[in-house]
Amino acid sequence: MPLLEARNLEVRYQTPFGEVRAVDDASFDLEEGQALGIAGESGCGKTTTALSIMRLLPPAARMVSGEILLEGKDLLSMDDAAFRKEVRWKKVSTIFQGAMNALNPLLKVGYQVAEPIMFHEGVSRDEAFNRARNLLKTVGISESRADSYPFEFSGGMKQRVVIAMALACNPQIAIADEPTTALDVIVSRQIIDLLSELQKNRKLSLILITHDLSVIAQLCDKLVVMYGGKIVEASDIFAAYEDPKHPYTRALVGAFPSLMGTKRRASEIPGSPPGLINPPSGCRFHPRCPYVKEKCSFEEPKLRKLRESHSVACHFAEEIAS
Amino acid sequence: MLFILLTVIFFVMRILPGDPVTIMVGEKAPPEEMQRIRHFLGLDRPIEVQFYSFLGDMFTGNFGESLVTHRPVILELSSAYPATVELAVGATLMGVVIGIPLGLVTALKRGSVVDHSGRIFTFWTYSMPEFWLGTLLQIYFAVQFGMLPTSGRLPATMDLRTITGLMTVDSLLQRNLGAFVEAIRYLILPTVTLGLVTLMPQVSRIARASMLDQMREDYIITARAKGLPEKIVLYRHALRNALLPIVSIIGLSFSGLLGGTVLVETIFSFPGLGRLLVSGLLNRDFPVVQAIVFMFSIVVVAVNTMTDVLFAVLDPRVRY
Amino acid sequence: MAVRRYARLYRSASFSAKIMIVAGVAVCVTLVFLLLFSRFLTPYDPYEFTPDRLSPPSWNHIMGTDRLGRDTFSRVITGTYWSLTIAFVSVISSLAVGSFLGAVSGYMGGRVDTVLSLIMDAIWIFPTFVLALVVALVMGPGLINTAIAVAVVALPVFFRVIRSQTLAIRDQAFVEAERLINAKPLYIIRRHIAPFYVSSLIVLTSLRVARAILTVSGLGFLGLGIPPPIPEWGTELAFGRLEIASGAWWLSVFPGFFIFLSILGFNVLGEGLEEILRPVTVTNR
Repeated sequence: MPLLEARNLEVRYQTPFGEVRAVDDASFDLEEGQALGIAGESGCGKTTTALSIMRLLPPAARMVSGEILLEGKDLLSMDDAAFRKEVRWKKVSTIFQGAMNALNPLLKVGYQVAEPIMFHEGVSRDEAFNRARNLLKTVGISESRADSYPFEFSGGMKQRVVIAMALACNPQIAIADEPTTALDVIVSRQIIDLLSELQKNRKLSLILITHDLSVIAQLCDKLVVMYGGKIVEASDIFAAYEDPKHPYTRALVGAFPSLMGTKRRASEIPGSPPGLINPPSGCRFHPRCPYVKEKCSFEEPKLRKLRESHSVACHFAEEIAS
Repeated sequence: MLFILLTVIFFVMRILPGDPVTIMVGEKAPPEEMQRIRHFLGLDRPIEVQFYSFLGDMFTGNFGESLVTHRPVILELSSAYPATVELAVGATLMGVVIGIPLGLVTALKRGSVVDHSGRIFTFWTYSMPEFWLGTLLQIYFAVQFGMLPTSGRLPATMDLRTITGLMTVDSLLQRNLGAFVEAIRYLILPTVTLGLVTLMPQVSRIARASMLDQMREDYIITARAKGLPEKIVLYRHALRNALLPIVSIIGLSFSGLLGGTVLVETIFSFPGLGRLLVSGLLNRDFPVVQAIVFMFSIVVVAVNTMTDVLFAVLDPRVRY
Repeated sequence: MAVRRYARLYRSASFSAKIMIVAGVAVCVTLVFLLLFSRFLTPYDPYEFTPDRLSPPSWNHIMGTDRLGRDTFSRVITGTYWSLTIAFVSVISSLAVGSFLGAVSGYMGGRVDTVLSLIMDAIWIFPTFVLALVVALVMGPGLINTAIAVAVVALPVFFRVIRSQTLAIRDQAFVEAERLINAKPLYIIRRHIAPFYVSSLIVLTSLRVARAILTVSGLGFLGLGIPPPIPEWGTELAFGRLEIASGAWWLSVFPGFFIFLSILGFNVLGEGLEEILRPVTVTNR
């Protein structure tokens, strides 16, 4: 049984301009010890999906329908107190952009890492701080820095702190939302290596959300591509890069410049992401799709299995040659 | 900054059209009289000399003599300032104690009836002229019901030895509980008037805005994600950060508060610096006015400095 | 076309903003109406004495009469003209001077900027009312002097806002381009920077008018503003207070209420405008 199953998630936001369909019928699985990447442009619904797993949607949002099963148990129907005590941070934790504002600027770093330990496991303050220092050591930050404030760290180090914090209660799943986006390439690589190592050593399952395909390529086993609030392709990582079937995925992969192989122009995807109050009819990608046919403009393609572990939402997936 | 203020005060007093001497004695006074007064005030000396002498006087506390009572101005000031201190402190406390919780509650219950009524209340008090509110309160509480006194600091019959000049403190120091109660009674209306109109609305608005900003921050979402109880998320994480702009505003609004004391003291015949200033103005008592304006400047600068210090205490980023 | 843009902004504004604008406009329009037509709306001559002394509100005199038999209602209505006009005139002049100085200061930078900013900061930090009092003292009571006092006190706000906007825009590319073509500084300011100001200034003006009314009536209250027998609200309130002991509450309550109402009206209008204009002031679009 997969560790985490998401079924038919649908999330909508209330705005002054109308109702935004941020996530529309999204389903995916996460196996134990696996790393799942969710990729897509800004505003495609990936962060909203992550937040809904943690039940952290902002007040303007509501979960219209869907199920999220952790080890078979439906997370969405649990009552608030139980969810807060048993699932948050203990089973599932989050890694936000440390370089930005995931850390409280007024509290010491050591405290912030120790805080969930104190609350969830009821250990003494000293004990929690000890464990926090160890965690910091694990991510490569010297223990003496536990008494420093976030502003005293560089972006990369802050990200490490955020990772240490996420591991505090030994969760089964960590959801990382754009962990490397604000960092330069070298630091980025260090963080990716760190995550990879932690994953192996702790049998941590990872959900990695980013628009950066290169990061997903290095860390993940499976890739889910989202566009306009819908999942358009889900496959294992090799198939995604070697044989992407959905035109959007193909464009994404093609848009990424490669240092190796023949020199070619990076292709771009013309147009801009769809507004989600009145999304395009039929397939949401059709206005920008190079392979568009008439059917695409009025009939919405469903996510269907092409092969074992490769599903696509496109009417003409088979015809699109590699 | 203080220096700038002093310079501005000096020049404002001297350079603006309108001769203070003429205003003091009227236009029909004989020229010798005007010359005499001008000489007495030192206004016939060259401007640079006047300026330096002005600065010197200010810093040595030599404010001259009141033109009305002929007592040293410093004496007048020292008997008046404790009252203003009590009033200002009381009003600040009131503004903060009501304003911050009000702002926080309206932020947390955003969009609800509580929020709307809180904001309406804030708006209302923000627009209220303090001299009107004071008058209304006087009419209502004192004239109609005779519950609370409308002027002065203590009943005429009561006598209290002055140690600090602060009635509340003095009465406690002398263990005179009756006097303490009375001091508070006399303070209530002026304090409520001043605090409710000058400080409270500003604090409440900033508290609300600041708190709303906090709730959107990533670290608040992280705190919730950690499974921390909502109370901890609010108090330890959100509130601590939200407090920073609030402290700033209290410092900035303080000068408004000081301005308000002028009117409130006049209405309630509260014998403080504000009322002294007004009587000085009406009597064209130049030295007194100058001295009080100077004192106000010092206080404003001091309060702003204190606010900066407080800010540094609360925000570790500032210390470095 | 600007009208259409503002109309769209209004439509997409939140409900609370709409209420505020409507209410604010209603109050302000009423006040302006009173201001303009006060002469025709007063049932009695505000300066005329009648034998009906110190009478409480009645059908004859809606707001009662004072010690000299003058009709409070007429006096209050006339007061609208005085208080509001002074407030408007002061704020407009303050706006003109302050904005100009702010633009110049922001654009030129350097010594000019430092000096001007320092002066404005000093005025800004000082208790506004005390400053107005001092100005009033030095210049004596009277109509023009009151206006000047109020205007001086309001200067720093306009100065700061315009200055910071100028600074933000000055270094943008299209301004650089103009400078390269050697356009005169004033021209640059007027054509390129000025349009962005309009929204902030509208909001600020409304709010400052509210403040100005408060200051004018405050000065009047202390006897340092517009001299009697002109029925300025603040002065009326001060005289009215003298009669409280005899139970004549209406002489203080009504003038004060009008002060409150006008301040409230302009504040509400200003805040409502700010809410709908925020996208304009923030994104400068």
